[in-house]
Amino acid sequence: MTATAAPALTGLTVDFHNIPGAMMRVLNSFTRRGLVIQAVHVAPMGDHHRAHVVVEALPITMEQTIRELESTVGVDAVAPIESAQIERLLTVSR
Amino acid sequence: MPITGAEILLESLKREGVEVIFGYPGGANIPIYDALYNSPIKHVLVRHEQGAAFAAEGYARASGRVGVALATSGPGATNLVTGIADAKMDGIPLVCLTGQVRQNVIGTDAFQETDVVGLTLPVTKWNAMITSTRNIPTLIAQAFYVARSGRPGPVLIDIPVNFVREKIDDPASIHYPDSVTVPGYTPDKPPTGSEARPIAKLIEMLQNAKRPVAMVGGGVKWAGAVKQVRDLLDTLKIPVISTVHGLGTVSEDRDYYLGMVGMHGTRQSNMAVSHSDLLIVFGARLDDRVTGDAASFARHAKIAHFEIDTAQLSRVRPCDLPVVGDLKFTADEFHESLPANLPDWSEWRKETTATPNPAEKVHVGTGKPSPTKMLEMLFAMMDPDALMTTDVGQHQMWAAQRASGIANPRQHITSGGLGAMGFALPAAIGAQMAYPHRQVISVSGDGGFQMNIQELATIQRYSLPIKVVIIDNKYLGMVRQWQQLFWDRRYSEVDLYDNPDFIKISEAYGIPGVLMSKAESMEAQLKEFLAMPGSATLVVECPAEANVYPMVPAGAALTDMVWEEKKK
Ligand SMILES: Cc1ncc(C[n+]2csc(CCOP(=O)(O)OP(=O)(O)O)c2C)c(N)n1
Repeated sequence: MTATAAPALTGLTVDFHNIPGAMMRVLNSFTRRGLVIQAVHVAPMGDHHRAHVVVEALPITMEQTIRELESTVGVDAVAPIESAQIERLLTVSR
Repeated sequence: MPITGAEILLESLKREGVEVIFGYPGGANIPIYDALYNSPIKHVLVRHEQGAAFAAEGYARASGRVGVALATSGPGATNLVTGIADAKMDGIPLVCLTGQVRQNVIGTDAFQETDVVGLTLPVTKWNAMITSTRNIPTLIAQAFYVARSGRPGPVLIDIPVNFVREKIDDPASIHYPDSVTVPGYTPDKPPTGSEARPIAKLIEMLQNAKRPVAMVGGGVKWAGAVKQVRDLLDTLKIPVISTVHGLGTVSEDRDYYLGMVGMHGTRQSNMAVSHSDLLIVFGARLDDRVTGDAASFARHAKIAHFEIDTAQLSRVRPCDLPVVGDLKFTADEFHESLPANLPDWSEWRKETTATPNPAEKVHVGTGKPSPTKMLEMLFAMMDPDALMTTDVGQHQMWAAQRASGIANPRQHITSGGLGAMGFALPAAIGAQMAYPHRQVISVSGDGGFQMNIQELATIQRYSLPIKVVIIDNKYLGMVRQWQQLFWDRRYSEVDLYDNPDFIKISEAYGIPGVLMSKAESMEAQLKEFLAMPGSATLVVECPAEANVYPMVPAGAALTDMVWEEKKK
């Protein structure tokens, strides 16, 4: 376990159905762990929605978050975001 | 004849098989209460909404069915929250219905308006607000589907009052779905990247294992897989340990059964899991009260985890092999795939029981009844199919340490993951409603009993023959024990020396009481108490400073059990 490792900038792509509460549940999976969301972008993608969420977190925290998201009602798929995309998400509104 | 939204709601509940609702009325759910007035669904009027949530849980935990609680908006809904959080932790199927202010005033901080969907989002498996009267049947069906499928859990449906008041002129136009799905909800989806054939892999791991151990948890009963897991373990004959919610899954007469694991588990269980090289977990979440220090938990073992909910995997210790699915099928598949030539683990089995568990302290010598002895007698004297609810604290652990002899894991009902004081009494009401003809015993401490003491009125109102046991040590015992052992005996705000007279209180509610204050009359009084017709309260005045042992100090390894307080 990497208890001494410093949290790094990281993020997840979450595909979910925009049923009531689903988006809040996605974001809550991060905030309930004390993580501060650095960037978030959500938009419709065909029959579902896609969220990109960027946080600073330890790998173990992200692994737990992925598993929790995978069992969250409304969520279809979860995948880590590539680092280049993280940079883009952080600058998108500038 | 037109039909109201409230009638549509009750019809939807009836179609889900709901026979009883635990609730409390108010302004925002009056239309539902009006419809209940001549409904075949029974309503149990509790005396606090927390009692409704816990009673619905007791009903669900005893029967395996979905428990239903109903509250009004604002304070009614907020009072449900502890019970909802409890159900989330232990995976209990609940549907909570809350009244809400009219849709057109939501967001104006109207009288008794609270954002209940927002408030309960993190403690529900799913929640939603009704936004159209015609959609009530679908949303209710979805609520029950989510609550009872996969790892069960609590669902809350918030109901703005205008929708239950609304009249629909053409009742035939209301569609009640036979089955529903929820977009993005797949209850037993394996985690990404998991083993395609986990059972084959597990058999390979088992064949190489020298010291395998199996752990059974509450997931076994919730999957309806008690028989499957019992049969499997009878074939495997590897040492078996149980979590508090797994007690009763494996019969205590099996020589491979070592008892409860964890903070107050048996020495044999804690040592076996600590020395195992393969731990097969059946439906348990590996809570930190079970694992102790996560880094040293089953340190030499690979972990194979039978689970339906991916969120429970690798929470405190990485899992080497997830077996995700319905345990009824995965346990059978595992059993059927076992090769005839399994390794002989008899030496390992002998090793796990070679050192007997240290004799337990019976807390005698003061002339007062020993709480552990009393509980032992209670287990021996209660009906074989009795349902016991316990509260939270020392008495809960003393009871759990003695509960392995129950025939069925649903007989032992306790708030495990959340550890919510005040649970036992209302949970007993729910259990009794599920099984009116079975003996139901509620065991609380003097602290927790006072957290939902008002539910004695509910017991009395419905003539529920619940036997109420209060283990009265005049302390918040478990906290006092921690202060004694780890905080240098600085007893800060744990003293309940001025408890009220519980017998008088009970009698004021119309329930007779028995005071047990001497060790020598324990057996006779217990017999007398259990034979009393209807409900009765037993107050056990026990020694103030009896402790629960063994104990693994919080954060320590399971091998670091403490047996008694240090001499000063
Ligand atoms: C609602 C709630 N508040 C506080 C606690 C913390 N707590 C855990 S055990 C305990 C003491 C319980 O005392 P009592 O009900 O008398 O039972 P005993 O331990 O003496 O058997 C307390 C305060 C809790 N678990 N739940």
